[in-house]
Amino acid sequence: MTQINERILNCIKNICKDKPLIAEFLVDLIYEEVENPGLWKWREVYRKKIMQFLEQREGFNEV
Amino acid sequence: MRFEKIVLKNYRQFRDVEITFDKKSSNDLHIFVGVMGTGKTNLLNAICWCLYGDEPYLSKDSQQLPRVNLKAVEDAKLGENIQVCVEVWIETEERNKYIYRRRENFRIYEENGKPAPHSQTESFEVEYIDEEGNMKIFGDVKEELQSYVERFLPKSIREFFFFDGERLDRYFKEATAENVRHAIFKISQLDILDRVSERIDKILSEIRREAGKINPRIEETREKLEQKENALKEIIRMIGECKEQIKRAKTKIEELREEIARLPDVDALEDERTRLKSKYKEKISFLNEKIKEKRSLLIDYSKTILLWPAIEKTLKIIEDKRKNKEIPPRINKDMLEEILKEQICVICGRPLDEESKHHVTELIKEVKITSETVQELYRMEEFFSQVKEQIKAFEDRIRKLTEEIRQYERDLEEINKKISEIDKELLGRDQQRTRELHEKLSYWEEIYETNEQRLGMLNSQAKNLEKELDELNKQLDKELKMENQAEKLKRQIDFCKEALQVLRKTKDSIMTQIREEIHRKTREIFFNLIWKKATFSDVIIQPDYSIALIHQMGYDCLGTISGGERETLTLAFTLALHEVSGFNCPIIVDRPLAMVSGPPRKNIVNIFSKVSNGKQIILFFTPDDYSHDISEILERTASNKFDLKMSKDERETSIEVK
Amino acid sequence: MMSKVPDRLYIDENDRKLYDEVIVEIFRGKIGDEEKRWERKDQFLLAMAIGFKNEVRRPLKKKEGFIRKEYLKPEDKALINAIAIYDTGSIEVLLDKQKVFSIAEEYAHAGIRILHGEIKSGEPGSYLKKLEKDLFEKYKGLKNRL
Repeated sequence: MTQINERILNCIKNICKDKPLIAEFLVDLIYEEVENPGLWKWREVYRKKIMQFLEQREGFNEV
Repeated sequence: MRFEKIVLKNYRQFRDVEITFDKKSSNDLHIFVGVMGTGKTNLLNAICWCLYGDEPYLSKDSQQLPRVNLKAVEDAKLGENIQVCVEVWIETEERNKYIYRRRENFRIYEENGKPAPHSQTESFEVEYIDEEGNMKIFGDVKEELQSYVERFLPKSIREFFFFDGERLDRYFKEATAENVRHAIFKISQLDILDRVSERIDKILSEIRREAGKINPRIEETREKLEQKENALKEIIRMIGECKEQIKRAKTKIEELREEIARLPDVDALEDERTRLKSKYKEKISFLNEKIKEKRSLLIDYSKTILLWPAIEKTLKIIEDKRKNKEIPPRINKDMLEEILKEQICVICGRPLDEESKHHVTELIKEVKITSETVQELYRMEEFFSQVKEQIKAFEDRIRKLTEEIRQYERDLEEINKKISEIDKELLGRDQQRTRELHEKLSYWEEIYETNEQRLGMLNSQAKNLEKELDELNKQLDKELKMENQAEKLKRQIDFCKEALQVLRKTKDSIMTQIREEIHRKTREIFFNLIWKKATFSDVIIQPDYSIALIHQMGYDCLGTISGGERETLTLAFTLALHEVSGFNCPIIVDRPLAMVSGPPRKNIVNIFSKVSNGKQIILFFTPDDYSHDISEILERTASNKFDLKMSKDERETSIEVK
Repeated sequence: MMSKVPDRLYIDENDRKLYDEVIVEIFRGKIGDEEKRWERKDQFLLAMAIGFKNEVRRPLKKKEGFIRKEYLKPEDKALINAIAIYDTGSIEVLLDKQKVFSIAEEYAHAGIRILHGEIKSGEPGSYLKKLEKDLFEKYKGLKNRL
């Protein structure tokens, strides 16, 4: 069963305390998975988000 | 939740049977006694077939037979249809009912001169009845229907609700750590993390392939890496298969026996019973009102308590603004205007002099120039101050309602008890029981041994591959760094690897949290249940998921304890899983005493009696298992005892209620 | 200068199904027209509170009207305003009602997924028990600051 639960969200946030962009990236992907059950163009979306977050990271110099 | 009723029509041995699990006392314990072959295990199969569409506990003999009752096939004409139907009624804690109904239609053809049933169609539907008797049927979308099963008894963890005595005994003997890790993974509901990991992994491979196109050397390393990764995936798959075989390595051989029992039917209603029933109805309605009240209160409080950080910050900002004189003091504009109009101070009654008039006029101007926003802030401040007071009262209000609800529930239980007592008095006892045969058990030790060896070998191969992969990854990194064009791709690869690492850590962290919760609960429940409390000092679930049972002397005695003690530990672990997973489901155990002999037999049944005060427990026994000393203990607390009786032609089993 | 006040709160069109499913779970009992609007508003605010609690906001992809602003009581507006103030760190956000509503909508959009997920992964009726437990935990944390 593909569902979001609070435990997962809180855990990701805790692990990425000093890397909030990675947390945001993963939470975004999790939401996309839940909002798009069944067949969907996940490759496009995943690729786009990787580029988007990389650009954001390079913009803010997150280490 | 609990099973309320099971109805079987033409399902294997059961031509037309209805089993009602009335809860006649605070113990929700139900006993089935029947010789091997009478269909005890097939009751379990019936439940699984109804809910999940499969029959995982079929004996070798049953596997050869069609699902439809043989007597019905014999009695039918050629071309006639027979319907197999199993209904499972579930009652939730809020007295709502979910009725699951699976039907399969068979048509009778002739084969080799004999009637042969052929399956035609199958259907599955779910009905819902609320506490007021309103009904709704769901029958359209397969996934939606399945979700109504999954929310009560998820298929992936059903092995923790339904099991046989052998498994109870062997659970912590074979592949212990793997059993525990598997159980914890299933109840953690981490599928979504696996899904995201898998997809990021795929994208990572694709990006590496792109990098490989830029430089043949990179391509070569990337190819090697991919080959090794695929090899590792294959080994992991084989490890999984191996573990499945190990788990599945058991079989049962059943013998047929006969048992005769006769039970009088229960009937009759008395006035007192009618009065109690009506009082019961009344209390239910009060209870429901209280539950609704509590629900409303929780929803209201959730808005303010969860948003408290925002409320607190807003109040602080307002307070600071006031301190810094950015917000004027709160003045009642209407009062000022009245003072000016009447030319008298409404507070002290003094007439206004020129100075006071001027002061009041200036104040009114200030109020006039206060912006709409500030007024809004004042309103918010006032409301939030009330919220603060309401939140202070949260604990008391909820506890009070909870106590009232509990009191109603206690009252209802009391009324039910009285009704049961009346029923008992009306019951005639006229029973007769006969002793029966033995049963044989066998399992695949050889398959088990072979797979254990293979598992060791595969694990070591996997370790080696992981080492090689690590080195190849480092090499690829180095080559990508040297190739400027691949720089952008390398950044994407690093980002994906970082994300995968976070996902791995998240999964491990959650599994660890849950493992720790289960460890605590297992320990608590085990020491509550075990009769030799002084012998053991601790139960530990290690980080590698292996379980240790620590003797008072300080050593791990899991390998040397008796069958009964082992069963108790498995039961404690199972109950802990139920509690931590949030699935409060019944437990069905097929022959709980199969692997227990001597005095621990009584201890085990005492434990089941104890646990049934809070959870529905259904136990199957053969007459051999169900000796006099055992029946004495169980029948003191059991709500129902059912005897399975096979017909003379062995085509049909009926169920008689004691 | 205040911006134009939006006339309703929006949800994402894909969320309507989730709200409908959640309504069965949490708001049992007879649902008349008046009660339906009341419950929708409470659902929205609950979803918003859950999104806020988990610090997740998601922009709406395709907007659909959900609650007309007339149905919002002053207390509801106060909570929506408080979230916006917390998020932006200043009361100036109250001058931009579009932004205030938009922040609330984004929290609710993220929160309804979590609420739906939590409900669907448990037995029917179990969510309220979990909510009670969560609230008690939060309450213990803030008791001393009241």
